[in-house]
Amino acid sequence: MSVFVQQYYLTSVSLFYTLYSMEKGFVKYIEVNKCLQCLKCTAGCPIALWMDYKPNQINRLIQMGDKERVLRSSTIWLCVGCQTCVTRCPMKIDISHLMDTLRQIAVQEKVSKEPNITMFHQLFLDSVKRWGRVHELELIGLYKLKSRQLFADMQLGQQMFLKGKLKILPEMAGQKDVQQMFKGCK
Amino acid sequence: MRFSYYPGCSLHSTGKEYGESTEATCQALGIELVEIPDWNCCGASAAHSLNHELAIQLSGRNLLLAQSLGLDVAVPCSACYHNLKQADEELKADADKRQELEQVVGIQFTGDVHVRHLLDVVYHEVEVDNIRKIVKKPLQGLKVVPYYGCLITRPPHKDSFDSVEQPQSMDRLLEVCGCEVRKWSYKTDCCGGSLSLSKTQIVVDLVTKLINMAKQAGAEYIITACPMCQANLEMRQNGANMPVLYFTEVLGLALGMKEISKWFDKHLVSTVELLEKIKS
Repeated sequence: MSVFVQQYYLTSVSLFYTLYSMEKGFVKYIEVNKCLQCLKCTAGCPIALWMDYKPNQINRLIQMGDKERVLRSSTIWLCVGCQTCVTRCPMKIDISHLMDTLRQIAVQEKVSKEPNITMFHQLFLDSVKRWGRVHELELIGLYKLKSRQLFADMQLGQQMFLKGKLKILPEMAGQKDVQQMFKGCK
Repeated sequence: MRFSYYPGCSLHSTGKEYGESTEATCQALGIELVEIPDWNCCGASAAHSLNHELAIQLSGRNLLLAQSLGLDVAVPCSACYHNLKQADEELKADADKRQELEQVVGIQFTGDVHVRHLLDVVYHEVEVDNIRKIVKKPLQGLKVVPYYGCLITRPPHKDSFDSVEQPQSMDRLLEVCGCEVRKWSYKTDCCGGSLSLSKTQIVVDLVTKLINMAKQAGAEYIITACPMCQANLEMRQNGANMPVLYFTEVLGLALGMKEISKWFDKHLVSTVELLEKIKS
């Protein structure tokens, strides 16, 4: 690698790091620049088929400092955190944690290629904030309403409700502490 | 033996039969579960996706409450288990995070509580030979595949209780119940987790593959140890008619428990055939 390329490479990586190290203790040192492009992450990823950039490509884009394409990818939202890539990576890159981190930067910058997934997570946390435990009936109802898919899964929902799997009333617990956490972790 | 018990939100609602069968089977196996008083949600996938610090604190609070009980914590849900374990490791390593959490909850973090999956507790604390002695109804001819999913074994921890790519604990437990455990290569493949509502088609595709592979392996039932996996496998199988049971329910069956039909009633895929098979 020529000195110039090396320099560019290091600068863009460190620039990117600063971007997501803005919040204190936000990131464990994720060594994306150690990626060998061996593709073990992508080969094992259950969701890779549906991703616009594969996990190894996200690593490469980060190395190149292409923040736009990374933050606007569907990949960072589709990743379900199954930990297969983390387990198999020969360079021990915590890709799952990297995806979490990228999602959080994307939220800060108000971009999301998968608004429904972002909204689902947000509604989930809203429910936890309100009650201390998630209230599934409320979560599902609000999600269906806001994503305008009110009639999808209607039959399934009815069946679950009749079997007593969806409670009408929420369970409340530890709200004082939980709300303080939400306040402190903005 | 006593454990503090973190059921998690699912075991009180969508995975109710898992909660009930866990409590009943553990009692029969001599495991006393003390539910952590006032436990809160671990944050599931949402918290670590959107706010890392919040995720650590939400899970961390439950660890502090378990610590007050002075008991290691048993967690039946794989996602909760993963979150609690992750929080435990990070709190041990990071004094700042520890301090922030302690300020909110008002309890000092000692790190003495071990986070253990229920499968680990049953397999390693009760042990297969002791279960063999109390099995009343060996489930002969019940063709099953164990489905571990992602977060029971991944990522590997320093004190992992089973192999990461080829776990065996549930296989052994099912064998001792008399089941015919079929071999398959999909026991740790992903079910799609939290995408069930927001990207339904992905979950349907993943689940369909799992169900087909289980059928190809000659299984009539899939056995899980996670309420998320169970819900996805049952809800998104598109009429494949493959019942998905919890390992605690299978243990309950083998131990001849009477409450079984109450748990089975809650399943979305009919288990009537199974109950008749057991009776005959």
